[in-house]
Amino acid sequence: MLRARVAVGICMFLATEFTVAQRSSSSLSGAVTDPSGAPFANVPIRAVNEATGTDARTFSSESGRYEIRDLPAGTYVVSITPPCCSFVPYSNDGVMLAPGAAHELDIRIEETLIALGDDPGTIAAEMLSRQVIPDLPVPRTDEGRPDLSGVWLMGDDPFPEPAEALPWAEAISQERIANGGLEHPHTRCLPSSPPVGGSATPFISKYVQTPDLLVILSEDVPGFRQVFLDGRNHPMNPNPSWMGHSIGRWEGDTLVVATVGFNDRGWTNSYPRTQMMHMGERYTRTAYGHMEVQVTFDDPGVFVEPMVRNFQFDLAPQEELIEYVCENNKWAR
Amino acid sequence: MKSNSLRIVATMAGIVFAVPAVAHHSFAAVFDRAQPLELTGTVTKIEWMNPHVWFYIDVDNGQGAVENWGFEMGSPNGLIRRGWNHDALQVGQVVTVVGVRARDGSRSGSVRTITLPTGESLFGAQEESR
Repeated sequence: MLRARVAVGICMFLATEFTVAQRSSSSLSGAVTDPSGAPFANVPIRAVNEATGTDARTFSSESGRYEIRDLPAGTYVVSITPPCCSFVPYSNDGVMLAPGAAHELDIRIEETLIALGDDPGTIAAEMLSRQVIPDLPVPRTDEGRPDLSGVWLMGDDPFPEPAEALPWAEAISQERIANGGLEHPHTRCLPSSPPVGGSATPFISKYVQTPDLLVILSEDVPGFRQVFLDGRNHPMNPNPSWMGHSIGRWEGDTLVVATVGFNDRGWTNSYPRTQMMHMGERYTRTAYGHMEVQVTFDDPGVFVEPMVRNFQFDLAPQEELIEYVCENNKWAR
Repeated sequence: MKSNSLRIVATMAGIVFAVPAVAHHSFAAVFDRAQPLELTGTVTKIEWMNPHVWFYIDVDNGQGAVENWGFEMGSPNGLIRRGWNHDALQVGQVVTVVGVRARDGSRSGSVRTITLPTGESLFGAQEESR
C-alpha cells in the first residue's frame, strides 16, 4: 500500500515537472533560403545552448522550413553547415529563447567566392535526385558479409565536431582558411586525402569488394585505394604515401579499416598531416542505398584528441566513374 | 568563458568544413566578381580536359581589332553529370558569355552562362542552376 502511494506520488511529481517543463520550454523555427531567396531544403541546423553546451539538431524540410521544439530557455548559438562548397557557413551567436516562447529565425545562406565553376554540392544534389534505389535489403556476399560494392556519392558530415589541434597545426589551418586553401595539393593536381577522395566533382567513388580485398576507385590521382582483407598486417616500415597502407576486418556487419603509412604532404581537412597519422574507418551499410562511414583521424602530431567525422555515403547506381587526368590546370601555382 | 568557447566551437565547425578539398585553385585569388563580363564572339578553340574545361572566343573590341578571350568552366566530369557533353560547344559558333574576369588582367575569365546561336543557354558555373 505504501509502495503504491509512493508510486502515485512520484507519478504526480513527474507529471508536475513535465507540465512545468512543457510550459517553460521554447521552440525555434523559421525558413532557410539560398542566395537567390529560394527555399533551401535538407540543410543541417544546429542550436547549441551556450550555458549547458547541449545541442539540438534538425534538417530543413523540402519547403526550407525547420523547427526545433522543447528547447530549454536560454541563449543559443544557431549554426548551419551548408553543403560544400558554394555557400558560406552560418553562425548566429546569442539567439535568446525566452521561457515558453516560439522564436522565429529566418536564415538566408550567402554564397561564397570559392566555388564558382566547381560546386560538388549542387551536382551531388542533382545526382541524388535522379538515383533509383531498389527497395531491397542490404546485399550480402556468399560469405554472408555485407557487400559494400557499388558507386557511392561521398557526402560529408552534416554536423562536424570541431577539432582541437596543436598550436602549430591550428595556425596553419587558420592560414589556409583565410586564403581559401590556396596551397591545397589539388592546386598542383596532387591527391586529396582519403577517405573522401576525388578531384573531379562531386566526390564519387566505386567500391569493389572481394573476400580478400576491397578496392576503392576514385576520380583522382592515383585513382585507387587497396584495403587488404586477407588477414595481413601493416608492413613494419611502410612506405610514406598519399593513400597509406590499409587493412580491414569485420566486426559483425561493420568493416573496420586501419590505415597507416601516410606521407606528411596531404591535408586533413584544413589541417596538416604527419607521418604519425593512423586513420580508422568504420563502414556500415545501413540500407541498400546508404552507408555510414565513421572516420577517426588520429594524428598526435596535429590533434590533441583524434578528430572524428561521420560521413554519409549514398548509393548512386545510375552513375559511373569517368576517367580523370589532371592535365589542364592553367592556374597552377 | 564557456559562452565564448562555445561560440568559437560553433563557428569553427562551420568554417573548417567550408574549406573544401575541391577547387584546383582558389576562386577568389584568381577571379574577381567585381569585374563582370558579357562578351559575344566566335569560338576558336575548346579544351575539354580536367581539371577545368577551357574555351576561347574571338571578340570584336569595337576599335577595329579582334581580341581572343579564354574562359574556364568546371571539370568535364562535373559538366557531363549536369547534362553537357564534349560537343555541346562547337568551334565556329557565335556565343555570348557571361562571367567574371581574372584578377591578373589577362583576357580570361570564369563562365556563368553561355548562350548558343540557338538561344539555348548553358551553364558554366554549377551554382547557377540551383
